Amino acid sequence: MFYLRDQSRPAKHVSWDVGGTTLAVSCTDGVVYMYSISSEQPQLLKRIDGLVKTMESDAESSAAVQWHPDGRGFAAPTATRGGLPSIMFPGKLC
Amino acid sequence: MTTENHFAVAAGNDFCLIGAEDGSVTKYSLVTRELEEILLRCSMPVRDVALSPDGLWAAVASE
Repeated sequence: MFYLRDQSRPAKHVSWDVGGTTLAVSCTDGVVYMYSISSEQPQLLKRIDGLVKTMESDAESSAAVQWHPDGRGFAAPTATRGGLPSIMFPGKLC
Repeated sequence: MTTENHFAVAAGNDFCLIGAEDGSVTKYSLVTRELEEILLRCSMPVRDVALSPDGLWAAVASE
C-alpha cells in the first residue's frame, strides 16, 4: 500500500489514465496532483493549479478529471467567471 | 450491505469496491453478492475510489 502525502488538504477525486501508470488526484485545495504509479514508490509528476476550484470535501460540485482514451491529456470541469463550466484540455503531461 | 453512507464505488469484472463515510473500503463479490474483505479503514470518510485499468491497483481518496 502506498500513501500519497503531497496534499495538505483532503483529496476529493482520483482518476487513472488509460495505461494505468498515471493517477490524477483532484484535491480540495483546487490543485490537481499528477502521480506516476508503478511498483516503485509513487512519484509526484506535476501540480496543476487553476484547473479546478477549491471546494469542501462534501461539496456536490465535481472536480473529477477524465482522461482522454489515447492518453494525451485529460479534461476537467472549470468554472469560468460567468458561472458557466468550461473544459480545459492540457497537452501531454508525461 | 452496510447502512453507512456510501460515497464511492468502483467495479471490476467480478467484484466491486465501496468507499463509505466511516472510512472503510470494502470489497464485495458480484458473483456471491457477499462481503469478501475490508481492504482499508481510513479515519475519515472515503470520497472516491478508482480501479486501475489492469485491476492491480485501487486508488482511494479520503480526508
